[in-house]
Amino acid sequence: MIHVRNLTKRYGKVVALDNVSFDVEAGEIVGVLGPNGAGKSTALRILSTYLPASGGTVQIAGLDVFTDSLQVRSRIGYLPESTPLYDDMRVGEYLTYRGNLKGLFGRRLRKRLYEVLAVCGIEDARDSVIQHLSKGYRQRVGLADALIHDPPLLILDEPTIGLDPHQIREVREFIKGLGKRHTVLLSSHILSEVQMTCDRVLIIQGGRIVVSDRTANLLALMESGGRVVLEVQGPAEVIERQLAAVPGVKRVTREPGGDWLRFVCLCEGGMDVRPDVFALVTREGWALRELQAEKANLEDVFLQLTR
Amino acid sequence: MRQVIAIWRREMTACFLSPVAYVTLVAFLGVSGFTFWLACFRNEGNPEPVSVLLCGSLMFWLPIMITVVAMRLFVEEKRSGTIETLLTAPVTEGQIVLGKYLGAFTFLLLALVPALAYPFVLERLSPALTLENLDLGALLGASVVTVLVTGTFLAIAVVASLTTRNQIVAAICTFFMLWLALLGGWLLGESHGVPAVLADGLSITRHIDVFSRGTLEIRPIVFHVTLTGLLLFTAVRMLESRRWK
Repeated sequence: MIHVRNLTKRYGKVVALDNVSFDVEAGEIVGVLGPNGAGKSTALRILSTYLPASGGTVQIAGLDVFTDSLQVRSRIGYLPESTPLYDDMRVGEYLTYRGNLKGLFGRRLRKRLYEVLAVCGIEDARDSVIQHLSKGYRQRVGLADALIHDPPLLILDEPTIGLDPHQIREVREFIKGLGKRHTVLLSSHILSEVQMTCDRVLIIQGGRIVVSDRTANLLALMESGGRVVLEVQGPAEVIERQLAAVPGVKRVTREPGGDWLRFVCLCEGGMDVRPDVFALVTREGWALRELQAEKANLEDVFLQLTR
Repeated sequence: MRQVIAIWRREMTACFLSPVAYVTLVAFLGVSGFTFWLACFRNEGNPEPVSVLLCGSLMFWLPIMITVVAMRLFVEEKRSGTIETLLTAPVTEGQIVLGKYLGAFTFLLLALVPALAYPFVLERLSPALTLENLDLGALLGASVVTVLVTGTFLAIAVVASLTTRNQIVAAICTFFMLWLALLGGWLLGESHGVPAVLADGLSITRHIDVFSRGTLEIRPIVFHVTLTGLLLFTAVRMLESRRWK
């Protein structure tokens, strides 16, 4: 669906994207991840035909974004960062206008309008002035606009930014649902979001792709070096020494706490040290109130890879 | 074409939804009406045709109204970021410029129409003034030249509003250029060193004067239509220029 080769974008002397190449297959949900200023928005803007590239080629559905710009635009639904909308219009009017721009008129437009209002859950806001909508509703209006011409590809720039946790969950579920019919490319700097919605992750840093892999693979990569946290009561030095001696434990650190001592054990890849630690604690007769293996999340991967 | 109509309709509604436009409209009709009344009053007994006075009063205030109406055309889209959704919709830059231009143009025409009633209202209100000089043909000439100049000025304003993303800067640029066009035309008409052909051809104030006296000439019409087209073409190119960088 998307075919990017050696994509480069320079703003004057600043290189925003440096020789980026990647592919996205039809039906995939791909997350573009990176710290602020990494080049995510620039990449999406080039893909959406808003900005020209300084070098390299981008093809969407076999069409070049620069030379076949108009055809490409009719095949994508683009939601820019911060969801720009016409504040003075009503939701229905806005979506009708956007539908017209995208070549939908008459009965076909009315049918699609009805559908996207339902899909995005904004039927009740149809006659509301956009200015008076909450952030969550604005976001959904933006999504409805991106969806109205039923494009095969959706490009969403930070779709959940500025939303409250409830709304984030809703939008996330919504995007997951979209993956069944559309190819979705979304950007985010919130890792848990990408972890939960995307099949595949592209991590961009400093204008380069540092990682491109399936989300599951990345998580597996991290789980191989997990951490075990425990809270016990007993002689601190003895516990620390004994824990370090448990097979599979690489390093033990003591975290500041109250009456209970809190230890974090860094473990070697693929080893679950919890049964051994538990056996040790019961053998020594220390009081134990927590023993937990911390699952690595994408955040750790991200921090490790972009350090 | 249907996309152009959609953009045209959107721009029209945007004008009517914004309080700024209403305020300008009322203020424009108020001050131009007052200027017209003042002009009639001062010219009592003079042979100056009413249509000349009317056209002059409107032209004096037209740059301000065009500035206010046009300053938001593209600047507002850039400021709010909607330019991004607009330019990534499957419409060409030409369709966008044309739709926006026609939207603002229609609004301006609707705002100018009530001014046609001024002479008749004035005659009713002040029996001392008589409109024996009112020639309907001259009034038609005045209307034609007002439409032409409005079109040219609006095209200038569109180009100006594309140069910046700040409304104030856009407004000042537009206003400056429109006054320059009027004043420059007047100076050109008054100066003696300039060949008459050039002065007649380029001076907008000369066009206004000639038309509002009831003479319809083809050359000024061609001049304004061509200039408008050229300016709009420039605007399209300016909008496209982001893709050349």
